[in-house]
Amino acid sequence: MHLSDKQIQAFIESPENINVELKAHLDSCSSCQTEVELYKSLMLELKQEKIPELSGDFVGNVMNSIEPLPSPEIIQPIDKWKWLNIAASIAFVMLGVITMIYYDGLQVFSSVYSWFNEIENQAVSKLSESSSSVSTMLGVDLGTILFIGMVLGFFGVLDKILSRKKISNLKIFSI
Amino acid sequence: MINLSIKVNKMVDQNEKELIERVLQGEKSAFREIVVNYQKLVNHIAYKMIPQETERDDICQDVFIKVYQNLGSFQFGSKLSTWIGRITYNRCLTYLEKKKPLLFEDFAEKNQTLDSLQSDVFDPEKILLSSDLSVRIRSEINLLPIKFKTILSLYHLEEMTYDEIGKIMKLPSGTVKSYIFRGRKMLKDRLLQKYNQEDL
Repeated sequence: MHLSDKQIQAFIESPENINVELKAHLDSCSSCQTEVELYKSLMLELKQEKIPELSGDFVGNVMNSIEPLPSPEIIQPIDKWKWLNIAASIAFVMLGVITMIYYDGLQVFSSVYSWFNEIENQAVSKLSESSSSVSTMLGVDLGTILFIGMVLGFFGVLDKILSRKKISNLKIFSI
Repeated sequence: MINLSIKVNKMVDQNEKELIERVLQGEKSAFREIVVNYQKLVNHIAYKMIPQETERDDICQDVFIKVYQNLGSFQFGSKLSTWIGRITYNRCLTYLEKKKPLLFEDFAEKNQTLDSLQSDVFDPEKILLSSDLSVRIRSEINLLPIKFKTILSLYHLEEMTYDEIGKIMKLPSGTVKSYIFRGRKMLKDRLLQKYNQEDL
C-alpha cells in the first residue's frame, strides 16, 4: 500500500514523525520515493518563489502621501470617584428638573417652604427659649437654597465634562 | 530553545510597541521603518491576489495609509504583521469585488480567459518546452485559485503559522491546514496532468 498524499506531505515537513512501517515502505518503493521528490521540489519552489518587488520609490511615495498625525494630548485618567461625583451631580440636577416639570416650581418651593416652616415651628415651640428660625439662621429662603443647589450641580457636571482632556492616541499604552 | 524563542518574540513585540508609540507621538520617520519592514509581506499578499501589476503599487500604498491612520486603534491583540496582513487581505478583497465586472468586461473584449491573461506573464509554450522544473512549478503556482496561492505563499514564503494565516484570512487554523494540503496536492496533480512523471 503506497503512502497517501497527506502522509507524504507530513513526512516532508517532519520526517522524524513517520512510523516504522511507512518508513520501511518508503525505503523500498520507488513510486513513493518519486512522489516524495516531486513534493519536495514543489515545497522548495514555494519557499523560494521570487515575487516582483514594488516600484523603486515605494517607501518614499507612501511617506509623501501621509499627513502628520495630530499631536498627542495627555490623558487625565478619570477615576471611579470622579464618575460617582458626576453621577451624583447629574442625579441632583435631574431630580430638580423633574420636580420642577411635574409641579409648578414656585408651588414646590412654597409647599416645601411651608413644610419646612411647620417643622421649624414645632421645633421652635419645643425649644421655646430659642426664637431663631432656620431661615433666619441661614439668612435666605428655602427656594433660593434649592435654586443655588441646582445651579451648583449643573456647573459641577459641566466642570467635570470640560476638564476631561481629549483621549489621545496614547490611550492604548495606558491601559 | 523555546525560552529563547519566547524571549526574542517579546523583544520584537517591545520594539514594535516602541516603534508604534513613536509614530503616534508624531515621529513620521518611525513609520518609514514600519513600511520598510512590512512592504514585502504586503506585496506578497497583493501579488497573489491582484493580477494587474499597475494596480498593485497603488493598493499597497493604500494599505500603508490605512495602517498609518488606524495605528492608534491597534491593541496588540495579535502581531503587527498579522494586523497589517489582514488590512492588506481586506483591501485586496474590496478591490476584487469592485473590479469583478470590469475584469470580466476586459476579458470579454479581448476574448480572453483568466488563465490566458495570467499566461501573458508566463508564456505557456515556453513553459511546456522548458525542461526547468522550477519554471513549470512557478507557472502552476500562478494558476492556482487566489485563496490557495495566497495561503501557500503566507505559509511557505512568509513562514507564518496556521493561526496567523487564519487571523489574516478569517479562517479557522484547521481550514488553513486543509487549504495548504489541498493546494500542494492540486499543484502536484496539475503538473502530472501536463507532464510525464519522468519529465518532472
